[in-house]
Amino acid sequence: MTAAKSLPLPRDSTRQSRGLLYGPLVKRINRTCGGVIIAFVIVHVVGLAVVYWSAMSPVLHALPWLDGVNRRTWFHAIYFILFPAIVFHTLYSLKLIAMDFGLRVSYRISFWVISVLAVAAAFWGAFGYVSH
Amino acid sequence: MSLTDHAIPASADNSRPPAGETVDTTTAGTVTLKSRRSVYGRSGTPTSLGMWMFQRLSGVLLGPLVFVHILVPSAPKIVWVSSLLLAIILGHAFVGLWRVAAMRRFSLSLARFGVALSVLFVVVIGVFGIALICSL
Repeated sequence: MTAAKSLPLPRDSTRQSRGLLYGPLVKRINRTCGGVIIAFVIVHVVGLAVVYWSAMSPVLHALPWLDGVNRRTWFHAIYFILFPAIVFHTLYSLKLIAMDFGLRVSYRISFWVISVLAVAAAFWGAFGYVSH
Repeated sequence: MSLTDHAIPASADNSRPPAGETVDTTTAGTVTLKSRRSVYGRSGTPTSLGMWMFQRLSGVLLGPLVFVHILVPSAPKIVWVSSLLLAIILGHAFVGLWRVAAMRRFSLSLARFGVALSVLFVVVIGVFGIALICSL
């Protein structure tokens, strides 16, 4: 296969580099969302283990406020970050898997649709926080 | 002129392997943090096929399991469901953290530190998670 004219790579024939670079941005957001979910898993598992695991009862005696902290109103503020992180991480990863199977998805449209849904999830989380 | 003539030469800054390392141009063999592969002049550590497949499969499994865990009140107390969820979370998170560390944005030492953190995460959450499941 031959090319008629030599073009240096990376090409910028669509002038993409002058606008938002979706690929690196989405990859960073997706990995940040994964990090947020991991942080929540740590808090969730360790926090519950302190409450229910008898070996951790000295910690619970030292920090009695840990029992039932998940029912406190202020604690629900984390949903404002957790919900959009879960929505973005799930939907973007499902998009990647769909693309692995050959489905063609517009990277611009998918980014904005997933972002809007993630922001909507943040507002849903915030609503739950306010109405609690 | 072939299409390969368009590729950025391997001497470009971000494709040059650090001293003492070689550029691995294949995905065959054991993949380690030292493995590097250059694609269009940008170097990176390839993810092994097994880890890559596991992360996708575990991600697909996590969706319904988390759904059940949250929406079915008795689900967290079902030992096999919670154990399966814990195992999949640990595996999925470990591979994800390994891949972030393997990007090796700064140095190999920092990447190794990242991998150590991912192992620490698996150990800590594994111990606390198993203890929690047994206590419920």
